Amino acid sequence: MATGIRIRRRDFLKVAGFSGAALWLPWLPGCGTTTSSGGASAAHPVFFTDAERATMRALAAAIVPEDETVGAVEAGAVDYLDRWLAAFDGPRPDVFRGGPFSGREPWPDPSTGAAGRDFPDDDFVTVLPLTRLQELAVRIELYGSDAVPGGDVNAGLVPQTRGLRAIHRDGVAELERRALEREATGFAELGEAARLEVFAATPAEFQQAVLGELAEGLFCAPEYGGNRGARAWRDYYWDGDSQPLGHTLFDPATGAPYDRADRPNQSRDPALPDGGFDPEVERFVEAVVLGQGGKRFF
Amino acid sequence: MGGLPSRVQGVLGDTSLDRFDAVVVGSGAGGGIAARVLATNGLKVCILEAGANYFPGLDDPAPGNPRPVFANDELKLGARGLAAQQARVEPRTFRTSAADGPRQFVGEVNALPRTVGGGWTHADMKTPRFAEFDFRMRSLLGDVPGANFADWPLDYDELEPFYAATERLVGVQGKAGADPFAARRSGAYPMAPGVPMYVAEVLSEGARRLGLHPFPYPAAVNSGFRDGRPPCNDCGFCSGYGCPINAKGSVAPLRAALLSGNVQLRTECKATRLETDASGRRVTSVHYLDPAGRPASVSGDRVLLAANGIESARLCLLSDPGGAGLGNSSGQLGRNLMFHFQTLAIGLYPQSLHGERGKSVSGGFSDFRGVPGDPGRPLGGIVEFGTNSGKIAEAKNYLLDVGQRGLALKRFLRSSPFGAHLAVMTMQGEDAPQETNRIDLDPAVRDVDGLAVARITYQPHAMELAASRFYGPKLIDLHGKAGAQFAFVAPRYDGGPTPTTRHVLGTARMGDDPHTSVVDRWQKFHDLDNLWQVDGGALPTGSGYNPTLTLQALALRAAGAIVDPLHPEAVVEHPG
Repeated sequence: MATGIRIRRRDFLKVAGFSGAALWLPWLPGCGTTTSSGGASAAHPVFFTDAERATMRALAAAIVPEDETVGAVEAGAVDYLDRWLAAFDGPRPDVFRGGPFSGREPWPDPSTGAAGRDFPDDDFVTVLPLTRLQELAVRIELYGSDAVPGGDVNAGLVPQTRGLRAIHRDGVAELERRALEREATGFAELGEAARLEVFAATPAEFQQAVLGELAEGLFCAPEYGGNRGARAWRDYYWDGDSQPLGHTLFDPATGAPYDRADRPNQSRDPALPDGGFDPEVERFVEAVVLGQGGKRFF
Repeated sequence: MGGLPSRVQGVLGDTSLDRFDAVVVGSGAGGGIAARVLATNGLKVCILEAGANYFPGLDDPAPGNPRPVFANDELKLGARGLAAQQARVEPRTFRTSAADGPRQFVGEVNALPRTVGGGWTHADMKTPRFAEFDFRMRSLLGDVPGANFADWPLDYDELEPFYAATERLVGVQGKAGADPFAARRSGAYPMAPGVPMYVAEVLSEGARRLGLHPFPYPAAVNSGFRDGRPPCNDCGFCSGYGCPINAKGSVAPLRAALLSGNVQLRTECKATRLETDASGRRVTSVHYLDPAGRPASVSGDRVLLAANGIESARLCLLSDPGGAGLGNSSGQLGRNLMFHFQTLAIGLYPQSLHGERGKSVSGGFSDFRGVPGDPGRPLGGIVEFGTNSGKIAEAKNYLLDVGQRGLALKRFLRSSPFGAHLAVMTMQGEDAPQETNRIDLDPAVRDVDGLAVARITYQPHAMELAASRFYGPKLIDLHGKAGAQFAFVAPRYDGGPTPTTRHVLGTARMGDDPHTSVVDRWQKFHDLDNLWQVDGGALPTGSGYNPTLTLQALALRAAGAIVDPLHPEAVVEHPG
């Protein structure tokens, strides 16, 4: 999203020399975000009650805790999940965000090809309309196959899909119930190890769903409600979205490609950690590799 | 109004057209380029596409169009599957053989994207040509037990001009002469190779140390400004993603077709049945469900199927309820289904390979394609130099597959063994065609519209299993030469789960004999006078190279022959 310190493209083109801009003009899309479902600060429909949300946060904090790198709660992964489960509760289904650009990366400078000062608008704040079949598929995923016309066409042949909303509502209730069995006042009162034990006793469909959603909420584009401030991308050395600058730059005069100094594509990046694997990770990797009949070279 | 942007929701091109010389089912690699030939030569064409259009402005001639809504958004394209066939509403079924009963699995099986541009939008656009010997495997291999090899009804030399034309139309980068095993070329590539990824440099060095011959992978991706499209800037969201800046040639022929003014592209229209006249030899109309799911139909003088090897065969089967399938007097329709038997060699390196920078695959080698009849060089396939390019997928791996939680999980996330440190070589091994590997209609499972779904019956032949065992250890050694700390081949195929490749070939094999093939040398159905197939289904054998350039060259040739049967090569690049 453009801020006050970023020059908008519309303004930039007024001052840019035509010859420099010309090389880029054929593919510079028109600027201006057409429709918006609201920026990061806008209110979004949510699914969980306050109590359920607190339980989910306690669970997420045990699965992906915060230490020197961001944890699931701090990244907003539960907020991401809260919005995903309520995808149909807003004015338009919030499933697929727009494109092509997020506004986090600038346009190339027309005179150098390197990062310019001009940023595109954030297209990710818009939502794309769903096709008939996409809407049916996502409704089945969230509400279950018996809640959607035709969704139960194969009843009796294949297991019917239980909706994610019911899976989470029941799963959270089970976390609390099992916490009471352990004579805690609530799930959040349990220590992290106990929370993981309780979670491991819940239905597999709940575990699978939560684990996948936490991964999504950690590393999705921030417009989906998770990966707050794109901190997870930075903490775990992932470039995230890079358009419209990309990783290969082009000399405007010659068209010759060259690497970004801060994120080289063709060569080793000295800024990335290079010290080998964490010893525990290395032991795991070795067991997997040798178990598959592979080799350890050093 | 030809060439003007559509003003009708979901319909692109000339929305006023209502009489068509041809109906094309599918707007992907084959359908798009066939439509281009027909439309630029004056034929009126209706294209039916089951998916939505994510290239706004595709039919707008103004510079800068189209402006895709694809993005560097792993959630949208990967996890939630914007352009995917959604298995919850349109599943397929799978089994390894009839002995398994009606099915073993219901869900996603080898599904190609459902979107304008088809699978050619999500691909990273690798475009090697097939080898000369690929066109006469039956003659070279003789009778292979359990396999159904066939010679093609044309040879490489006959297809070469269409390869060259396709490379110009979709915009291919590459370096002639860099692959000593590559087939003869009549000219240079239209563009020089783009920049290599670091991981490709690392693996190329390992390959050279083993005496192999790595080269820049040919790809239908711009390396400079060409055809109104910018060069690839290596954003990294390539394989599995549509291109946010339209540097890929995914829809270049389709756009040219639309701008000719002779095309109407109806999106979100799912073909359900081909209707024939009383003779059974002419398709009179294509029935489909419109974007709201209402029955509709369109007629044209001829019909070209380009829905992919699985869906085109399914449509022929759906068109003959209770029968053998439209165009199936040979009994070969749906059979000889081939994928590529992919051998994945995974290396873990001490340094970060930053695979999220670059176009997924920028190098490879052909030394392991093999030589027909030489037991010392079995028939494998081209090898791609790739790496990881999804952070959500990587985290899911640690959470769901590795099963880590808490601080142990954090060590995996920071160490990134299956992410930043991962290099993958993929060998696209040739599948021997087998009659028993096939698609038919599942006897009971239906899609959400009540239509019988495609059932895939597939198991690999001993030929590709032997090649995988032969080359796998060599790929592990290559990783060692390239500096890997660990390397292994995985997953080793054990009869399941389903094969994951998106290379869907065979099912309507091309040949001169109507008793043993489905379509003729011009890809017209033997049994029908006005029905063609221009997708991967027509390939008699699958080779060991990425197939899309070849299926496009064949589609170009077939469409050219519809326009000018005597001189198809003269009309296929008509500017319109």
